[in-house]
Amino acid sequence: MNSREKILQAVKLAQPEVLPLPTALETPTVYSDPVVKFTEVAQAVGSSVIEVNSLEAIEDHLKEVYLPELQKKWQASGKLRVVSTSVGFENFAEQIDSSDIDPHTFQDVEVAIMKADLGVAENSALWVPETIIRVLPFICQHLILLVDKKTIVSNMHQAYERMGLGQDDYGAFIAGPSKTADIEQSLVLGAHGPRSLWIYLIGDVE
Amino acid sequence: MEVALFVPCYVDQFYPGAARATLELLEKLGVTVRYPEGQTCCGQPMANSGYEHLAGGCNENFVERFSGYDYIISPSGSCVLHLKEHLHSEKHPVQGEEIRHRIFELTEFLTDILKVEELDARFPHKVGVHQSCHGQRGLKLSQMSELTAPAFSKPGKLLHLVKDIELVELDRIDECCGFGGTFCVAEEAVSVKMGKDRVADHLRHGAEYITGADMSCLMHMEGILRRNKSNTKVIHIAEILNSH
Amino acid sequence: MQANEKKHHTLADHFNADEARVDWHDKTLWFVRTKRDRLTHDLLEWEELRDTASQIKSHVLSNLSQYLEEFEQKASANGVVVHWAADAEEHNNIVFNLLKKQGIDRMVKSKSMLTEECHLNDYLAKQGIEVIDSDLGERIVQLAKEMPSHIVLPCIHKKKEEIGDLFHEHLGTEAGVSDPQILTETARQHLRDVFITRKAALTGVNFAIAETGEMVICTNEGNADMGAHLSNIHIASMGIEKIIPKRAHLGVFLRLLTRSATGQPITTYSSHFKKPRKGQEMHVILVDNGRSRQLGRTNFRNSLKCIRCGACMNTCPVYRRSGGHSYHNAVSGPIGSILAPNLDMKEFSDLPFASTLCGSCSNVCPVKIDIHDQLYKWRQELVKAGYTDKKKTVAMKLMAATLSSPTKFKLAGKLGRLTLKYAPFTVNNGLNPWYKGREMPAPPKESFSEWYANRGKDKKI
Repeated sequence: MNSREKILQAVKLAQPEVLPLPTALETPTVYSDPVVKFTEVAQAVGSSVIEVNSLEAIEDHLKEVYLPELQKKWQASGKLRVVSTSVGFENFAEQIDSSDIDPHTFQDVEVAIMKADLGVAENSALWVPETIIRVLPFICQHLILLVDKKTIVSNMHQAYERMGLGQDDYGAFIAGPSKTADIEQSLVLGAHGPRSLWIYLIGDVE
Repeated sequence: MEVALFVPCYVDQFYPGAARATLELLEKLGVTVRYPEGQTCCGQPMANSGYEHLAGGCNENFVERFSGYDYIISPSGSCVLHLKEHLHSEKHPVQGEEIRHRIFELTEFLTDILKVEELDARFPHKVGVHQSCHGQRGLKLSQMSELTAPAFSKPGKLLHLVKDIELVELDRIDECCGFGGTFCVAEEAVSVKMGKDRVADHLRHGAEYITGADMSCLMHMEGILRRNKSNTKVIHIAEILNSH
Repeated sequence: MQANEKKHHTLADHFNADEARVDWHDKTLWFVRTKRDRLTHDLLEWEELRDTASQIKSHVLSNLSQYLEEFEQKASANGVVVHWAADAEEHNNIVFNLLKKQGIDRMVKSKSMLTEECHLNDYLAKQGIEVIDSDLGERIVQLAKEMPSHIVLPCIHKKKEEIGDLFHEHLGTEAGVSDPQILTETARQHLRDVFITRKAALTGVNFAIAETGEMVICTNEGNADMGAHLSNIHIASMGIEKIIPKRAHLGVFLRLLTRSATGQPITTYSSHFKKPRKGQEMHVILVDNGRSRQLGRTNFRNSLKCIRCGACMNTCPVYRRSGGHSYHNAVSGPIGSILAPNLDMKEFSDLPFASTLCGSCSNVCPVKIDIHDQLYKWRQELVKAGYTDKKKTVAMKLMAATLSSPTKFKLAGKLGRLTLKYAPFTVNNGLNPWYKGREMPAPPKESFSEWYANRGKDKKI
């Protein structure tokens, strides 16, 4: 008997009679204004949240507020490599649209701009499906995620209901900049992944 | 109503005052109390050490002494919990089962069965309440800080009926004192440290007395208080509820 | 090493030699417990979530063989290579052979308690393969040549000054630097270089979904993703109990996991790995290593529900005051104490006794494992199997005989109170350990039963 058969046999002998699966939760918390809750939680976990009404407004904000802030707060200087997997930032960022690039070549990316499919109010997590380069939202120094306000749901149950089984080969919920508190429970932002996360919440496009 | 009083072995030997107060308090509230002769121990010292199989003699003795009463009351949450969960009798299985349903810890008996709403008691002191784990988490005498659920406290409700008593707030409302039966000697260092920390919380908040529904925890903390020559004393809740 | 030296009470005794350090350790972990309380008390459906999670896990354990096969089939269809390991040795061998085939002798690893359980790093080191742990806490204990002392906070027992010294020695920071910000930045630079240069990455698995064949890995640091997405070969190691039936069940478990673990609403990253990256190999190793045996132990089956949040450690008053290493096992604390005896009853016979049975662990457990009841039950099993001190058995028999007989009890009590040598809780240990830090109760002049007998004469009840 190989190990597969051995394990399955042992498990079959050991497991009790089948017990039923429970039903879904009766009334998980929903928020009257999920965007407000989302923003509150996002800020609490170290993200910055900007509400905008158009892609142009994002670009303006990036130039006028984001980059100066980046230079001031993180002493980022010189020619910064900014990449985007989201279209519409060609003036501002290197457009990435091919997955046939060695992921290691992104190790010098300062800022990555990507789109999230949905957001969750209770924990500020954003679902970022595989968009071309899997390592990008982790390897960049600073991450910018764009999300449509209308996609913000209250809780994780609603999120998975909306996502269904999913078509993505890979995807991640991302909630905030990477962090650690492994040294004496002191919170430090910027463990291995991005040091900061800015979220642009896109409202009704006029 | 006729109830039987079960006085745990170490209370009988070391803390007769707590047992007397329990008896007198129940009588004051109009209950006929019997103290069955020949009672010894609930069997927990063996069982918690892994020797539940040696507790048979204790169990049989208990069932013989305590069968046939409306209720069995004991001033110790820990012993009551043990009996509720583990008492069984080979000789008298039905009676054993019945006792498990009829045995009550003192404060839950006062609040749930007698439904005491007033007491003629006065205790003009600052008092810290120790939530003994087996009473609290086992018998659910008080809400537990770990759960997302409404607060309540059976011992607390009774203490609020006592005149002039001042209950002090604690930093950690329901942390274990570290007694734990044989744990107190088998894991001496951790046990003592837990006891010291628990006592320090009460002292920090100015408690003159530490009370609770379980004498074993109080005995442990008393041992630490006396070693440190503290003026703070331990007192079983029955003695406060029975004070005048 | 003497048998006793490795036991919990001895290791805890050493830990308590430095009381200020015990206070610091206790406060740090209590802080995590209070963070957990803040987050869970906010959520009205918290207890319902725990119930639901517990029932999902009950269902999984009752139907595990089918879910394992379903997962295998779905994962294979996704292009993931599925391996089965009956024990630690087979697991380690599979990893080694995968690396050897590719001619790889350096690997980066993110947190996996299973690989600690299997002692993978030691095994690979003997085969000439270097493993670098990438979780900051794990890297720190690795540099210190220690085991993690906590499953979620691996170096919670270390002070920042000690970490500063380690970094000075190994990573070239200035002597005396202990600022967590600077130390973390140093580790970031050091490990970034590791991520970029390693061709193989090993990760643990938090949840594996039978329905889709996905594996979900949760980190705050992003280290699992950095390693996996930059590697040519990603190996994921998981215990067979990590399966959940449906993707929608992640909604329940991801809400519970991090709130319980660290008091965060969710980890920064909850990554769902379904298919390998183009050109990448992805492997998953399904490890039994005693789990099917534990599944067959009715009393202890529920311990396999554990999702490794560590909440039981943070709340445990004994853990906080004895440190994770006193449990001498990869998984420490209350949950470790009910898992370890299944691995080796003799070696871990002490752990179920390292508890006051206060029950706080069971109350914080997000999947409602009856941890403290299982500790009680393990004590009975261990005694019956003969893994406890024989002298204790003799003493217990004597005590049982005394307590079964009212006459003997009365006599012992009388003698006992006079000499203060009798107290049920001190059986076999004598009173010395009690007296070390405590006084005995002052002896009353008569026992309650003596008083009652006299009172009866007056009152004639």
